[in-house]
This record gives sequence, C-alpha cells and structure tokens, in this order.
Amino acid sequence: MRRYFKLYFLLAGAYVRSRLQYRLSFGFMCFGIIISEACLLGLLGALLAKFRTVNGWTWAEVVFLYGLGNLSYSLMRILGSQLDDFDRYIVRGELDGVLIKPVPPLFYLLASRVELVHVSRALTSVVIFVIAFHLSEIRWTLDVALFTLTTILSGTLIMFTLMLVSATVALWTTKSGKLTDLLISATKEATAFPISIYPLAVRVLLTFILPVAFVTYYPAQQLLQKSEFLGMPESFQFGAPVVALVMLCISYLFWCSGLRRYHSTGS
Amino acid sequence: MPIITVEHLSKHFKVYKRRTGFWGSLSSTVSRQHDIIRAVDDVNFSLERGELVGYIGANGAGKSTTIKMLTGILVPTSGHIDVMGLTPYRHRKENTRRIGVVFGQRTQLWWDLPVIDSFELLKHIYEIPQNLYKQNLKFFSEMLQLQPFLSTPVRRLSLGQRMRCDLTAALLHNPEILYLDEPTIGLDVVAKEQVRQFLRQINAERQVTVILTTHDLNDVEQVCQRLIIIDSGKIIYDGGIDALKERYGKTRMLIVDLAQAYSDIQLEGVDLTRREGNRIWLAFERDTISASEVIAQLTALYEIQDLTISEPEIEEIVRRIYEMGVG
Repeated sequence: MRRYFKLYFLLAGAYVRSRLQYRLSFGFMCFGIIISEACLLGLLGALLAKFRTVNGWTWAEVVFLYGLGNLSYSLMRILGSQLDDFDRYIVRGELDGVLIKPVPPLFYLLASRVELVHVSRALTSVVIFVIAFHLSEIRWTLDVALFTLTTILSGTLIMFTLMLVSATVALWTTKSGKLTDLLISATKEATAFPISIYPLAVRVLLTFILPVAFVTYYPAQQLLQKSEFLGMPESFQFGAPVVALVMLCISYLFWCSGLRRYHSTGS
Repeated sequence: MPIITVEHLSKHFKVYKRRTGFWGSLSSTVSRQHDIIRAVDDVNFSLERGELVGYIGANGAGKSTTIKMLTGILVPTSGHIDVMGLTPYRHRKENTRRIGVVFGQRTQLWWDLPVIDSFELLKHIYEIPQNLYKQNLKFFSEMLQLQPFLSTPVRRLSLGQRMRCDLTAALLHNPEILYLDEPTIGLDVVAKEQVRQFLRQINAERQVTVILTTHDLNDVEQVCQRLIIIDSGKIIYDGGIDALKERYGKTRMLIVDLAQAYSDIQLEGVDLTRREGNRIWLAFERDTISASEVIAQLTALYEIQDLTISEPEIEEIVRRIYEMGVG
C-alpha cells in the first residue's frame, strides 16, 4: 500500500514536471478554464435574473448545485484525465507499454497523468460554492461539513466511473473519444440544474442509469433542507456514497473484462 | 532446462468483413461475417538460457504477435508458453519483473523529462534496490556512453542516443530475458553497430537471453547465433546461421563485364540470370561446378574485361526462402 502511494506521487510528479516544461501553454489552459467558468456562471446568472426561480429553486440554490457539481467534476478531471483520451493509448499501441510494467494497469494509467490545469477549475468552484453556501444560509456544523465532504468525494467517484466505462468501450471499438465527451459534458450539465425540470424518463435515467442526480440533486435536498423527491425514496439524499461504491465495482469489473478482451485481440 | 518453451502456440484473430455501401454496412452490423487470420499457427521452439536468437519474418508474418504472447500482452488462442516456469499472460506481473522489453518504434522513456528521471522512475516501478540501481546505472552509462546526455530531455536526443537509453531502461532491473522488437529501425550505421556490439556484450557478460525481431538481416548475421524465420504464422526455419547458408546458400554469382555485347551466351552448368549492357550475372551451384571452371569456359569463348564473384548474402537467402518456401 505504501509503495503504491509513493509510486502514485512519483508518477504524478513526473507528469506535472513534464507539463511544466511548457509553462506558457499551461498558463493559457488555466486562464481559459477560468474564463469559460466565469462565462457559464454569468450565463446562469442572466437566465436566473430573468426567471427568478427554476421550478421553485432560488438563484442561490441553483448556484449551489452548480458549484457542488463543478467541484466534483474538477476533482474528477484532475485525477482521471487520463481516461479523457484513453483511446489514444490503444490507437498508438501505448497500452502495450503499460502492460509490460509490474503494476496494475489502471493504477499506472491514472497515476501517470494528474492534470493540474484543472486545479484552476477546482479553485473557481470552491469560490462559487462558498458563496452559494453562504447565500443559502446553511449553518456550518461538523455534520454538515462531513456530509458535504462525503458528497463531493462520492460525486467525484460517480463521475469518474462514468468516464471509466466510456474509456473502457475503446477496448472494444478502439475509438471512444466522442462517447466520453458526450457522456461527460451531458452529465456535467445535468448536475447544474434540479432534475425536477426534466420529464420523468430523463429523471429515471439520471437516477438509475447515469446516476449523476446523486452528485448534486439528492444530497442537496439534505443540505438545503428541501424535500422534493419526485416520488423517489427520501433515503436517496444519503445515497451518494452507496451509489458511488456500486458504480465503482461495476465499472471496474467492466474495465477488467475490457482488458481481458484486449489481451485476446491486441486492439 | 530451457528458459522459454513454446508448444503448439497459435493466435487467431477474427477480422470482421465490412461490406461497402449503405445497405452493406447496415447488413454487416446485423449479421457479421468474419475471416480468421492465423497470425501465429502451431509454433514450437525452445530457448536455452543465454541464447541470442533472431526472430525474423516479413511484415505481418507473426513476429510481433509472438513477442506479445511471450511478454504476456496477448493471450494465446491455443498452445502452451512457459517462460522461466511462468505462463506470461496468467502471471503477467511476476513475468514483467524478470523480462526487459524494447519496442524500437516507441520509447518507454518520459518524453519531456531528463533521461535520468526516467531511470529513477523505473527504479521505483520495478523496486530495484538502490545499490543494484547505482551499480547498473554506472555499468550501462559507461558501456553506452550515456554520461553526456543523462540530464537532457528525451525529446532532444537523437534516435541513436534514445535507443541506448531505452536499452538501459529495459535492463536496469536485471531481467533474465530481453525482448527487442526492431531495435535498429531507423538508426544510422554507427548507431546500429553500437546496438549490436552492446547486445553481444550483455549476452556474453551478463548471460541475458536475447530475442530480437528485425528487418535488418545484418543484425541477425552479426549478433545472433540462431535464427528463427516465421512466415504466415508458421516457423519455416529454425537453426544456426551457418547451417542456413550451407543449406540454402549454394548458389554463387559471377558478375562479368564483357568487352562487347555478345548476342548469345551459352555456358554449361551456368544460368544467365541478368543482363545490363555488357555486364552479365551468372548463377552457378557450388556443388556442380567450381568458379575456376566457369571462368575457364568464359575466357575460352568471350573476351572479358572484369569479373567478381559474390557469395550468397543472408539477405538473398532469406528473400529466396520467403519467395519459394523451404525446399
């Protein structure tokens, strides 16, 4: 275990040092991310200024959802960016280089790309989240802090598992970049609004199939003292860690079967 | 006790047929037909510890597929592989600790970092003890003269320098077997010679078993004691290089510059294989006729300006084997 911690930091460090060889491009990427975040938030503000509320959710509450979702999203992007364009590994045959190392392949892949560019996104989200937290008049207690932390981590895991699944598809099809982009941007957008704005079919999809409703919507019921469960069990507000673990198991098994398939076809 | 045993090894790939046109692609998504490609087909060989083997074949002959099965990247369709008592795909991790792999076309080094950083990372990945690491690093950087560019980023190295670093990277953890997939591809003559010299040396001094695939038969001729030729997934030759020359290299070639363009050239026991202006190429068998007899026949009939005899090159022999199969 200690060995893997050390190895993780060494490999991640090597990637960060490689990236910092190109400081200007790194700086531009960070800058770009912050600008695009600011634009999105501005858009959100403009929309809400016009409509005041979204399905009974106030401006502050929607920004709260946005901030929460974005925090998980940016953590996932920092730690799991390798899966963004994992198909590149297969197309260029680089996965073979991973398979000849005495380390679990998924560990090696994730450790060798920790994308600090997305720290800029995480910082913007923290700022947004703290403001929204304040505006929603949530009282800071130890319970709330722990619940928030668990929610963010579970949300990160849930988004990560979706990314892992779409990356794994590439082990069958060699290409999956478009699927990853689609899945990730769609789910990211879905976490920014209360799912009550969607028709039932979409709500079911976002709860049971691509369970991103557990990243923001259900936990927010608890934090914002709402009870808008739309016919789903109220216990769903505490469901995020369970969903995250179940998804982790499923996606990891899927990954393993993908690797087995790669082992037998090499493409 | 062989270090590698391969028995009845086969690897078949399904290749799905795609029909053309809209209806074609629609119907091929519904009912998929496939061909079976026998990339490796019932291959048997075994290697003793310390052997230096060239594994050659045309593109798509099954070389890389075999190497991928030996390294544990691919699972065989059928057959048995034993590498130091392990089954590579089943004991992938244990196996990787005991082998080194160099892909000539792709570096295993960290592209943007100084060379030494890659070595340090590999030290941790393979859990190489510090003193062994120091010792090996010293050994290889002296042998391959890495010192001048140890702190240069890999992307700024020449191809030859990079290959020397890749060789070191593959050997730092003291592997017992070294697999090289086209290690000299794209290198200039000097760099190629360095790589060959190095392979001979680590084989002799460290008893590393070496398997290399290559297109450059000079690699094989200068480095390997044994040659395995694979074609369409089947092994068509396995044995010493001298034996190969002995068996298939009996045809010698006499190249003659004649004083004038004779219209008809007829000699006994000799084939006229090529003609360019006044220059002719005459092939003859070592067993049936001697060079001096051919020359005697020639000088009796024609006026000669110059002549040379060429012994069969391994390149030529292998080309002939590819073209005609083993006779």
